[in-house]
Amino acid sequence: MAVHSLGERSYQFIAATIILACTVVMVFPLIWVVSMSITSQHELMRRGGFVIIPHRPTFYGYELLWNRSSIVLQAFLVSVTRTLVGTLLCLVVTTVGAYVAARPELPGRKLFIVLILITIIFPGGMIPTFLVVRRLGMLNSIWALIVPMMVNGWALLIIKQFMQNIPGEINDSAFMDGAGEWTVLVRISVPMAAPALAAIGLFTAVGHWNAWFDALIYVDEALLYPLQLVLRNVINGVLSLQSGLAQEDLAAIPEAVRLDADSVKMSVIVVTTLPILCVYPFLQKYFTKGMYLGAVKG
Amino acid sequence: MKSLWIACIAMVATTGTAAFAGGTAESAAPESAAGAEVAPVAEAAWIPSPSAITPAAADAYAYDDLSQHVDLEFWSVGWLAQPVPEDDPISKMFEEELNITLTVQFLSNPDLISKLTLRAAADDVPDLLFNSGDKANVQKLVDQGFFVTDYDPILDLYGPTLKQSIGSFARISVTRDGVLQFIPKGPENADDIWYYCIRKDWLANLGLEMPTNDREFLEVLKQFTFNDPDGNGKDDTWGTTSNGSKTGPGRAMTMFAVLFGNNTKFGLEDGAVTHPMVNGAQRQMLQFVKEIVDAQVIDPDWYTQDWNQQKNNLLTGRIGAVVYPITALVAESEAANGNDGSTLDWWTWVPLMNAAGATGDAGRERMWWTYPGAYWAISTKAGDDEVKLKRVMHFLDYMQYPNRGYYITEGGYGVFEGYDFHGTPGERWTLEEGSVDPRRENPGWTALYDWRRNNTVGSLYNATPVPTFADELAERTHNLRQEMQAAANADAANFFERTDLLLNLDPKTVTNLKDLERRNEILFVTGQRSFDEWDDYVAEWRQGGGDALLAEAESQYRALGMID
Repeated sequence: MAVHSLGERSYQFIAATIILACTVVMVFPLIWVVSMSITSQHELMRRGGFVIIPHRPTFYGYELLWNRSSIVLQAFLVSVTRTLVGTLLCLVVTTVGAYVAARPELPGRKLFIVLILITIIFPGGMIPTFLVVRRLGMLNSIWALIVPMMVNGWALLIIKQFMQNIPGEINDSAFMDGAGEWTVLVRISVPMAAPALAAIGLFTAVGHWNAWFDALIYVDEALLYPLQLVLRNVINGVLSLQSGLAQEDLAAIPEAVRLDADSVKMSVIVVTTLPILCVYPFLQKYFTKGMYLGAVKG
Repeated sequence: MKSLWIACIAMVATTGTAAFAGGTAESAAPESAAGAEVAPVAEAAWIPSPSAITPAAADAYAYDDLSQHVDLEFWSVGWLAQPVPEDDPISKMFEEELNITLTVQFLSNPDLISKLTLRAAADDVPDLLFNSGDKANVQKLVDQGFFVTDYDPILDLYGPTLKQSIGSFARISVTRDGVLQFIPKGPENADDIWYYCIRKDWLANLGLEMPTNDREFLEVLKQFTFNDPDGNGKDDTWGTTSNGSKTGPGRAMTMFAVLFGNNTKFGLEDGAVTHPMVNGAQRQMLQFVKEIVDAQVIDPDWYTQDWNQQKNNLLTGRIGAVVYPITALVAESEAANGNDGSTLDWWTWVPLMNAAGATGDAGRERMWWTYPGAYWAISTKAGDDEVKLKRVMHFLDYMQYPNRGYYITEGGYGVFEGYDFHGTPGERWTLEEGSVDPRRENPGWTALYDWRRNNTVGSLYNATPVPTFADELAERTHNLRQEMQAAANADAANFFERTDLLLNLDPKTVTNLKDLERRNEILFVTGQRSFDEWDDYVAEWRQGGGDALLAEAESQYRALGMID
């Protein structure tokens, strides 16, 4: 058993203390959010507006969401669908584009890359994009939430750069063995660019999961609202109810007095972040890698 | 290589479309929708009394024989702004009775404007729009021809009830160059009144009389702070509180300006523009607030806390008096204390006060529940389609008080199963015995709140049926609030008219002046700036934009015909 010196033990102690402090700083907001989500307005006031361990926990915020469970569930399915399909399509189309752009023999390659760059520097803007979506007949369909996000210029250039760094000899040997473009793309380029694709996929998925504004402007049908938009409406509705509690309606809606906008908001935060929190630990390494990609190879 | 080219072309097409797509909306010609002669507008009341509005006659809608089916898209700003449930009985009722397919959206104002702007770009605005704010953005669309202008001929022909409900206050708010730019919705009497509220149990405990002026009010605050009004043996009470939010004295304190004169900023008084900075009310208010602060009879956190934070002491029984929407205070106190009836004897209102020795209208301010300036707009496309225009107006007019559509949109009365009522228009309606309020039983009740905003006098005190109460406590709370509100409404005629709500002043100058006021008010209250420098401060205020805005307000009042 190794005997550590006093200096070594001191170092370990200080390091552990700092890490513990950092952990507390990181975890504390999460604990506070969960606590607030189960604290009643009554208790919050009685205890000066700050509660970590509620004495009489209430699950009304979650009840409220559960009572709208059919709407929330429908919205959850929309969000999951757009996240899965949107991310998959984005990866496919962006990867194909990146593969093309990475091929030096492509005629007009520089023009193609410039066109991509232009979409990054000068985005189409909300109104032109809306007009395109409308002209394509995608309003009030889930495709309006997926197609506009299908090609990401920034991601395309990242993946292109990654593919360019694959030694040309590997592709050449594959061609010599009779492989076609699709075979090289699928069997060589994509596996070798897997870390980049995972990172880009994760960013895209998070983007889809968090998006709500596109649904607001492209979708009128409430059944196609994603989870984020539905939950935003729930929070806004509770805030409005609170601001109008003095009205005649209060007597008619006794449960309204139990509503607390903050606890509902926190319940919503817990519900929306839970899926991401569950997935994140398994994909964290790709996230980190994704951060580096743009920095060193852009 | 062939597949490489195909992929390449596909990518260029995709990115190119996304990058360069655009288009121009073809603006519809802004023609008047109805070719009828314009009837002279009768002299209307400032705000029409509901009792003066008669229901539409049996043949009032004979212009619309309902034989043709119409698709009607209706967007409205919403209070709850929730998606309309698919089985919303109110929509269904309108669809059945008016032979329409109704597409309704209730949206918050920012969402409504975002969607509307995009739809305008695609030349596809909704047939009917209701909004209660942000007139400037919609006015641009009117000017570009997306919506009908000049509604007088349309109202004459197709709006028998709406015409009666539009008072001159509402008319002024949407008139430009003598032409109605929108169909105005009249301002409503406030549901709730900002009032001086006081703990009546504390007054009784200490044997104090109700204060009648600022001096007596300050004395009561001192007693509440230092004489243990709740008898718990602890020094844990304060006379009053406020919500400075680190920006100024806060709403509860600035309300004191009404004790000393007209506190309406850029309002009208005796045919001239007035402002508390120039009529002296602001100075007296700040001096009074300074007295309160110096006497230490206010919650020590009054300057740093925001509106919600002030409730921590207010609603837990540590504050004796406050300026607050009075019925909200009763309800919130109950809610914060477990809804057990323990706070129902806490609050009462302070009868209107003046500064000691002063008389007149001081001590009054009315909060508008719905601001004048709410409006409907009909798309030019709907206006050009005679059948659709008639149906849109039929739909809209039918919704107004005291037509049947009003009661349906007001509370779902008569359309939700098991919920019925009886009564006479203009009087308080009563639920049939055994009826259950749909807001309690039906998950679709959220849409009621947003439908309600589209009828003219939705929150008038005597136009709402008595709800069925969950229990005796709810009924007692309700009755107490009604009693307090009735007393407040009795004084309604004495409140300062909020004519300033009709103005459209330069926002940058308004913001700059607000900043100047915020910076200085707290300096005067805390004594960091002496009131000897008040005249210098007023001069700074005038040079900083005050004079410019006074002139701008005068010019606008003149254009509105409110100043000779």
